[in-house]
Amino acid sequence: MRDIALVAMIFGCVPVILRYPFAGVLVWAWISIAVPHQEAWGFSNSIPLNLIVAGATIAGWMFSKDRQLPPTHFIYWTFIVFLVWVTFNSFFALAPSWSWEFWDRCWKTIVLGLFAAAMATNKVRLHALIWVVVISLFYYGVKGGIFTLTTGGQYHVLGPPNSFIGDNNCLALALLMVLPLANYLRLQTRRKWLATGTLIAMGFTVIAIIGSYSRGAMLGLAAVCLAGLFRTKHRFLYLALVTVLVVPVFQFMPASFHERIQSISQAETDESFQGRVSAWKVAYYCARDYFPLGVGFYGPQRNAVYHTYLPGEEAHAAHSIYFQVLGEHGFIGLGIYLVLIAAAFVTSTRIRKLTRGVPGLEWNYQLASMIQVSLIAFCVGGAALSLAYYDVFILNVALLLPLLKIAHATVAARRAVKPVVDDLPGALPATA
Amino acid sequence: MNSLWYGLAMIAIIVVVHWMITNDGRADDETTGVLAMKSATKDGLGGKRAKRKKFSLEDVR
Repeated sequence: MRDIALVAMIFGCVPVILRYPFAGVLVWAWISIAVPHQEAWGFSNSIPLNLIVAGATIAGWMFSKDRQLPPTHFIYWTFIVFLVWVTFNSFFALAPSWSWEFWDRCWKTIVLGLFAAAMATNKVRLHALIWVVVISLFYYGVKGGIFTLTTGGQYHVLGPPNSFIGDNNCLALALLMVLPLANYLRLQTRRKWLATGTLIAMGFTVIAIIGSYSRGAMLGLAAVCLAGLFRTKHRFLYLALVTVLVVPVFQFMPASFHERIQSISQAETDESFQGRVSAWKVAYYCARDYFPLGVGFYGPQRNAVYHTYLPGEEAHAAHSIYFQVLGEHGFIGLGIYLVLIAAAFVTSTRIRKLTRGVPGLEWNYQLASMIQVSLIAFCVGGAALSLAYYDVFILNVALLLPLLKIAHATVAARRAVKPVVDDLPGALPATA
Repeated sequence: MNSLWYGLAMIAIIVVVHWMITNDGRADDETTGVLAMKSATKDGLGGKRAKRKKFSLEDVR
């Protein structure tokens, strides 16, 4: 039944996408982030829904009137350089057929980000895209929160199988990243019931994050709470709200949860943490021995590679976005990746400075601030998780391009009007 | 229950797509529908203060 509904919806959307290509970006983002076909459990898994929507979007964009490339900003070129580098790398991967399979996911994510950056030319489109991202992940967040409460927190909250967020740790990080974006929507919506509903869904999502038992996500949650504290005007209310929500949930969780969280302070004896350290070592050795290329997508975690360095140990995933890129794409790949992250922080700070206190651009300021908090969650939580090419991260960075463009255009338009007023005979001197 | 939740998520996406097509290019206060956005002047400082500072001929006299 779910399969029929999903396939009917996607095929029903195709004519709409050809007419309105940005609708294609929305559906494309939904399929990439929520992976609804993995939740349908049937024949829709064998249909390349993502490719169909992507194809319709690209075709619609090519024939649309507002066909344009993304703003040519430093971030845009960094994306292009990164895509070229990982593609070049895949030709020389230790197991090319294995590497190309993951490259196929990565290029689609980056192209989706660039299409979103090119076509999100106004606030309504940006707003709609953020809603799609939030709905896609709140689907798992609300469900996971209810699951945690009804089962007494005994079981781990997991994501959809065969996806970036299938693992409990990765799902928790994704949910963490979406909280600031949901907060932006809550601040921007005119409907009070929708703002309240969003706040409740955020509460359930926090419970789901805790119910994932992910220690990396706990550190990320702490970072988000701290970053949020510096972004809000109502600090006392914020602290009270966080305390009222988080403390009872921690009390509610069973002893197994507390034991797992306490193991963060016993890193030297914790087997799971030592496994991560081993995976980081393998990633470094791969980057060193295969300089400057690395061993290709998800190469270091293959038994053949892992056991070359640590024979007898169980092969682990990289468990860190930084070591993941280092092992897979070498020092140069990691360098480009870090430049991309740094550029995202610099650009979001620039947008915040540019739009602070500018009437009509408060939304721009809020969105840049919330994207920044989402990126902080990614950088902190991702230090212990393999989610380097995650769609929400790519979209977060890509959306800074139209956001900056809109901010520049609006501020420039105001400056262009101002001298005319000042030059009028008898005009009063400026007081501010 | 799970299927209902799945269906709701699908409907929510359709609502967002429809809202985007209907409101594309409109200013904040011109947006309509479930996802209508707050007017820019009502953000930040709050609508009350914005209304209080509204220009009036009485101020000139």
